Amino acid sequence: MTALTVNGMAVETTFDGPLLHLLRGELDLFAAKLGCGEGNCGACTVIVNGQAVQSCQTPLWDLEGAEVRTVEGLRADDPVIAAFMEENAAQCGFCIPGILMTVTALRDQGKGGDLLQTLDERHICRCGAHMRILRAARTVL
Amino acid sequence: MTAPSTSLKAAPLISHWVGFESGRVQIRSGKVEIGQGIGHALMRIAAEELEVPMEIIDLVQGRTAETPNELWSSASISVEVGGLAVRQACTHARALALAEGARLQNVHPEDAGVADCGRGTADMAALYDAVAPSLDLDVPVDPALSPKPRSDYSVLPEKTVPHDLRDRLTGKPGAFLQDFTLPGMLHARVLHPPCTAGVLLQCDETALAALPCVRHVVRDESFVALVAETEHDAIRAAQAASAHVSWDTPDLPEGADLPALLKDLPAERRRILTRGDAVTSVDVELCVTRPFLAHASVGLSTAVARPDDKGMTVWTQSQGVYPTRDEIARTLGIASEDLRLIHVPGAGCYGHNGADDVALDAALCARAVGAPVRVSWTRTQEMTSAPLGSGMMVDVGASLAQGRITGWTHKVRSLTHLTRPGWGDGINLLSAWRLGDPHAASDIEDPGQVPFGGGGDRNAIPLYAVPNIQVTYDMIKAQPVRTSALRSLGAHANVFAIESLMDECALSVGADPVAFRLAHLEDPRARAVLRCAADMASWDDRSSGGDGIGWGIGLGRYKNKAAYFAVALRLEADAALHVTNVHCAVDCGLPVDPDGVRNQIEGGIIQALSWTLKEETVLRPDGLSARGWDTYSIINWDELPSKLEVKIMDAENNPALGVGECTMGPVAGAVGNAIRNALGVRLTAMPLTPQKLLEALA
Repeated sequence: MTALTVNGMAVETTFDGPLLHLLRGELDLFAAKLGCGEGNCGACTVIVNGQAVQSCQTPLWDLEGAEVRTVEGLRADDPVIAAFMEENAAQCGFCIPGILMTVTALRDQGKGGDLLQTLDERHICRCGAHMRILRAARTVL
Repeated sequence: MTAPSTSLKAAPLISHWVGFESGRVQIRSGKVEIGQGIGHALMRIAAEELEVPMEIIDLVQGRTAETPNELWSSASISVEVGGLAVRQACTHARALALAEGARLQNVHPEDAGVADCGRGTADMAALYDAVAPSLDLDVPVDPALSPKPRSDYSVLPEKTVPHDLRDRLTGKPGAFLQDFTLPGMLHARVLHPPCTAGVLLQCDETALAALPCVRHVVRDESFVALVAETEHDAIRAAQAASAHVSWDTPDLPEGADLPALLKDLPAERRRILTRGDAVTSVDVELCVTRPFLAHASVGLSTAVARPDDKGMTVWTQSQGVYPTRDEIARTLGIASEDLRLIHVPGAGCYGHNGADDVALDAALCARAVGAPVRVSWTRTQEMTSAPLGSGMMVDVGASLAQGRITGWTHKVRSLTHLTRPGWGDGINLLSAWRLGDPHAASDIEDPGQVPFGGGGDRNAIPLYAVPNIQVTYDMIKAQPVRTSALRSLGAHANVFAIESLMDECALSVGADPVAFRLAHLEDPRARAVLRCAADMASWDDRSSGGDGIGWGIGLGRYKNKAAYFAVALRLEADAALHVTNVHCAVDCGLPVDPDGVRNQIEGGIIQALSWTLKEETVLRPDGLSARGWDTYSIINWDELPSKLEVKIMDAENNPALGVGECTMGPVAGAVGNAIRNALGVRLTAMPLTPQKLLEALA
């Protein structure tokens, strides 16, 4: 049994797989995406205890007492979402929820200067919406 | 008069496209959302022609029996052809509604409702609502009615936020097919062999069934799928399954030497263009190659199938719901009418990927277990089972006299670029070949669409005016690996070859690359985009090149009949090859959704940089080199240009043209030309890597 909070809600679960499958399979939170399941694409990124992590590589046993945030936990008028809407910073949009959480974590930590390096290490966009994504992210960092 | 959209042939009535019900407008289209923004473009077309707010439009896309059969969303014609059909249907519907409004009010049509109270979207929405009960839309669309001229557009600002963007960004359930669920739905993974020609040698079904969390093993000859309660369980089951199955996989031919591989495979020569005198000798020649490329969508190919009393419903990300429905129905042995395909957007799609195959996989699983099943492929399957963009080789040469090109030869050699479902008489779905009662794939046949190029010959004919020209296409029908349509098909390599040769010709006669092109260019729209891109880059003031910094130019008209695109870019060559500045101009006629056009052009440029500089998957006897993101490099965030500037030409009185694929070849050409300008060497084998540059400099 693991006890954690997801977007402020208390969750107790016996599920013992990766966090991504708790979110998608048990809690019906679909913003975090399954893109590779191998920790290479970043589509599954969520925030755990203030840090952006790849939820496909984050086992539940490591999350006792953790605070998990997903895009569903952002307010509808959160400036990060508003910035991506304003810039139409997506093509298919599949990679964006993960990037939103990385940008949110950098904003909350005051680490906007790490944007490019963090995206380099963690996120793939295949459609080529990069320029818009950077523009949108930089308006809130 | 505008010519009727060819989409009207299969769906001639206004009611096939437009409806008015409950105060809302229904728009039906056979063109589907694959990340290119077509849905929003269609909404903009309908809102402007009908003069209604976008908020009251309900768009339905890609549902068999409900939406027009527009075959595939491909070839950059969703706006050009599909959008035109919606526009023509809306124009006619509006005219009929105004007439019906006049009849009901017993006034002259000019005065029907809206004329009196000032035309506006609220008035038109009210008019459609009022006339809906008596309005007969079961009449053929009359394409003779003129759509509104651009100068009369009044409903929409230039930039509108795509209607579905928030849902996609914020995880609305079902906004992506990968997130689509049904009550009682199970999850499955299919076991694919390491290469597509593999045959199941041994399969311990008892052991597979005994794996924890496996609910069903679905087996039909070489088709094996594991069905589980949750996606997590299905993934775990598939990972554990490898110990219990073995495949007989033929060795792939060695592909490290791509020209050798392509020359070894027998080809059928086609004459694409022969004009003027035979070109018997050339002064400048190049042999360029393009490697096999992976589709490599960021999402996994997915489908959901639900059996019912009569047949099946399949939710799919296929680009062509009708052709794929028909092939799945034939595979299942049921009537097409008993199978329903509903399109739901998936992750970005740039051509024929695994979407159709996985739709059959889901149907086979759902039929076997009698319950709804969602199937996704694995990352490795995305890289090794989906069709690749074919490796290509292009020999080009030119003869010159008095500073002009007098002769041109272009010989392209490639595997097919078209093995989609619906193409030919066979079944072009992977798992159909593996069943106990197998279906054969269609005969390999790129369509002959001279002069536009239907496959490997796409854009093989240069835009430039040359008196004597010979263009041939050596089409390889063998399929050592599965190849099919990938963004721009043959145009990426063909335009790379043409634009590389144009620069070499210009250099050999000491001419400026832009001036040399203009001297051979008659089409005023092509001249205009080229001049515009050069001006944006301050071409005439650029540095002379050398010392590792260079500028390159590239030009193309997609399919020689669609959007014009020119690009001037700056490149720095040191330990890496970095394109720092991109200036480009596009002429796509009327830009239906200008921000959508920019988005597609930006994305096309970045993907073209990625293909041209980084991407390849190599055939090796034991399989393809690319098996996941760790073995398939694409452009990364620190490799982006610092400046990327897009100019949409003022060409609003020309028909709208799609822009999804026009960038690929010209960007490749411009990169090669910039490297040549930066360091004086011509790289001809994509990807154009620092390693190859070092070898060329040595």
